[in-house]
Amino acid sequence: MLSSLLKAELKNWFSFIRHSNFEDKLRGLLFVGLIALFFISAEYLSFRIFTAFSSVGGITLEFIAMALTMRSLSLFFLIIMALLFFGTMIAAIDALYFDSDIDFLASKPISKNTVLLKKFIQIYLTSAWIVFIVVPPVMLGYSRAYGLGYSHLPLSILALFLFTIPAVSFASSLVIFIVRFMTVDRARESVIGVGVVISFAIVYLYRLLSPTNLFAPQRLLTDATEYIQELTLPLSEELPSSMMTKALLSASAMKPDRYFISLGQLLIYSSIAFTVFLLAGYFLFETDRPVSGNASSRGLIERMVRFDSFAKYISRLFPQRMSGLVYKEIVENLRDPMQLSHLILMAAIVALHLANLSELPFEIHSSSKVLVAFLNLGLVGFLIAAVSVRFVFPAPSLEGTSFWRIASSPVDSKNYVILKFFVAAAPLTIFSLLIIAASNSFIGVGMDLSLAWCIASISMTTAISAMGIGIGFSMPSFHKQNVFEISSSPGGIVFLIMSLLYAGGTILILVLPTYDAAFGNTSYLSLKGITALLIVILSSLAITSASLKTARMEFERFTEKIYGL
Amino acid sequence: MANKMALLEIHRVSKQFGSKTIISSLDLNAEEGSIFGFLGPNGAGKTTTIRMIVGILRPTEGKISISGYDTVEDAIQAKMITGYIPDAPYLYPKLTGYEYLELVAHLYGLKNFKKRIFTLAERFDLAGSLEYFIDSYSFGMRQKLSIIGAVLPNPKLVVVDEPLIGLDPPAARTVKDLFIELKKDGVLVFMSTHFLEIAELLCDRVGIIDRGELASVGRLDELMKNKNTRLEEIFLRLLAERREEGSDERRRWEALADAAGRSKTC
Ligand SMILES: Nc1ncnc2c1ncn2[C@@H]1O[C@H](COP(=O)(O)OP(=O)(O)OP(=O)(O)O)[C@@H](O)[C@H]1O
Ligand SMILES: [Mg+2]
Repeated sequence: MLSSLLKAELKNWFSFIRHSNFEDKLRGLLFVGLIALFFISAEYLSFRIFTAFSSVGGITLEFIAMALTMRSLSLFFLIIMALLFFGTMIAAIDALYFDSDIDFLASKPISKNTVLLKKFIQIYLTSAWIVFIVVPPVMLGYSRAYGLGYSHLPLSILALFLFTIPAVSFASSLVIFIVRFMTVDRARESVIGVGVVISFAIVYLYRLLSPTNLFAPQRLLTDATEYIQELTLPLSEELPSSMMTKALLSASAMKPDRYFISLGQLLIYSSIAFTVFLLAGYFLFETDRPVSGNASSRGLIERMVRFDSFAKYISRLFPQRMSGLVYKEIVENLRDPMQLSHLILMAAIVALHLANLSELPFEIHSSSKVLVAFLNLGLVGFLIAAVSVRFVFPAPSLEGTSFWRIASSPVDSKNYVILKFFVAAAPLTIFSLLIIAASNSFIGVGMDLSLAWCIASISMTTAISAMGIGIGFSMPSFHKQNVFEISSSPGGIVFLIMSLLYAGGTILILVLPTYDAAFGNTSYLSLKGITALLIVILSSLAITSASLKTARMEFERFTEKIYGL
Repeated sequence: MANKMALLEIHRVSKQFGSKTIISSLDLNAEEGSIFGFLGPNGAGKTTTIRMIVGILRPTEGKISISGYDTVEDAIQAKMITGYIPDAPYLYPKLTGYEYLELVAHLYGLKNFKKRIFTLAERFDLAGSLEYFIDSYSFGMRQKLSIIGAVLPNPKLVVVDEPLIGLDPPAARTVKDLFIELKKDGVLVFMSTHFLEIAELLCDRVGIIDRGELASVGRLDELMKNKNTRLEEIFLRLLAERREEGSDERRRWEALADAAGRSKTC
């Protein structure tokens, strides 16, 4: 029974591949290429980081290097786990209560356990796959940095699989539990609450682990004992993230006994979590769920914050024929609890980042300031890419079946594309400028650098938003349940990787003049610096206009994609 | 009648999806101040044709013009005078009914539309629901909202794909009255429908499309007088004749036509 259900799902998937035409196959190839590129870059980056760790403390203090590695791996897995938990909640609400096959399954003589199993597999696949793309390159980079060979990889991946089960099971159970006590719509809102809690938990754990201290090996010279104590302090042993870390470390160090202990712990954890899911599902999951209680009731957040007046105000800045669309774009995004919760999560991460910067010890050399600020610029680029894959890229796909409204209205495709671009780029630009300005003033870098990096960040937000719109129109995915699924569609991944590469490229262009400014004590606005900035601006303009042109061309074909084949 | 202008002109239009031909060389005119019924069996190509008229799909070959505006070349002008009611009312779930209509008004550059929105909404018993989110609407309520949105900008051409699906009797009556009023005001209503009684009741002319080709077109009274039968029988017999001689399908359709001829009610 279960297998026939899964077979139907798989068939659906493969027919998508088989029936794609040449152009789609080309895109598929591009897609695979980009994934490979991401893999290689991520592997290289983690290789560099672990190499840097392994050199800390020298040969005599090898255990410090080990502690550093362990700390950072735990932190990495912890963040992965928190994000997986949060992502799963969203995926679970949709798979369990909004999926179109719910009514179909409910009307068939299928046992509840079969339905639950099918749903669990579906939830797992939609939320956990990203872990298997993000983590392996880090494992590879780690193995290369320590020269450990790759034979431990199957064991480590097995541990990774067990590591993902608890987050997915607990998050799904929590959703089932919440929905039991309120309507599904309210449950969606409470996901925001969970998002906030998770953000604060990350902040708290981050503080607890205080990675800024980890990266201050110069303290070895002053208060060495305290530093070493801090590093070797046991950290939340009972979380799967530290079990995962230990499993990886002992697998790669060829210590099978310790590996199997960690694996056993993970296995016990997973079984408990999965049992909890089955029990919650068996006793609490109902397919006839009240989606929204009162027809007229607005969400709690909607009632507290009047988005409409804000949206009205902004839309009045536009010519009348466009103002309606501006209003719709803003309001639709803000009224979607999923979107809103992501926004809150991002805001929390930014706040955390700024708080950390403000506490950095800067008695050190001014060149380090420049480097930290520069790293910060890179981080902002990364953040913009991450935000746009949720907010910008899905915008065209979200029109989906409602697109007839715009397609049959007297709207000029050029205006429409520019409007979509503007609605995406304006908040992103303000957002990133604020981060750059705030962090530069915390760090205390000079005006010249601040100015240069503000220009660089405007260039990045512009080009990345335009790319989001362009790729959003050319590789849309319709009939998806939520933004989450759209951003993890092939188009979303292509966009994420392309924007990461672009941001990386921009940072690379700025490396040379930054190096000069940091160590040569020259102003950034030298010939070299200005040339680099010009290249950044010009490449941003080129990418922006090419992307918007693509978007406009694809706009014309958009309805053929929705209504035709 | 003869001096009325052809508001909608479909000239040798074909549409292909990939290598599949959905519409082949369709020729059709319809004049202002009339109701045109576009009939045909499932999968005949009605929705596809309608989507081309409203500028959602592009003809692979041929031209469509509305009041002289080409739907591809002068798309904006053509859309400006066209209202469209799709076969399924997919609207923006996170907007309220009023916000949706306001969006439409803005898109068409209307001024002082508030009163008109409420008048129309009252006619469809929707005024009390305008402040609610569309995702709390029932199917019929969405359909009503979509109808109001189509006629709100005072179009010269209203294109309707299956107008009465999901509507309650009062709303169905309101739609029929509305169409007759529009016709009196010189608007062309172009509608596809499977309810032949509705076509009989409302339409001045009908076109019957079958497998992407126009099988018959003409004034309703002429069609009915010549055969002196009900539209259902005419429709079924016409389709039967287009099926292959001696085929099972033809025999089945002929039997249906005979049955329709014998029965007095639907
Ligand atoms: N996206 C598509 N890709 C391929 N073929 C399509 C597509 N959409 C419709 N068709 C085909 O085009 C033909 C006409 O479809 P259309 O929807 O226009 O029919 P219709 O007359 O509106 O039918 P109904 O009375 O069922 O609404 C059908 O044979 C259908 O299979
Ligand atoms: Mg149809």
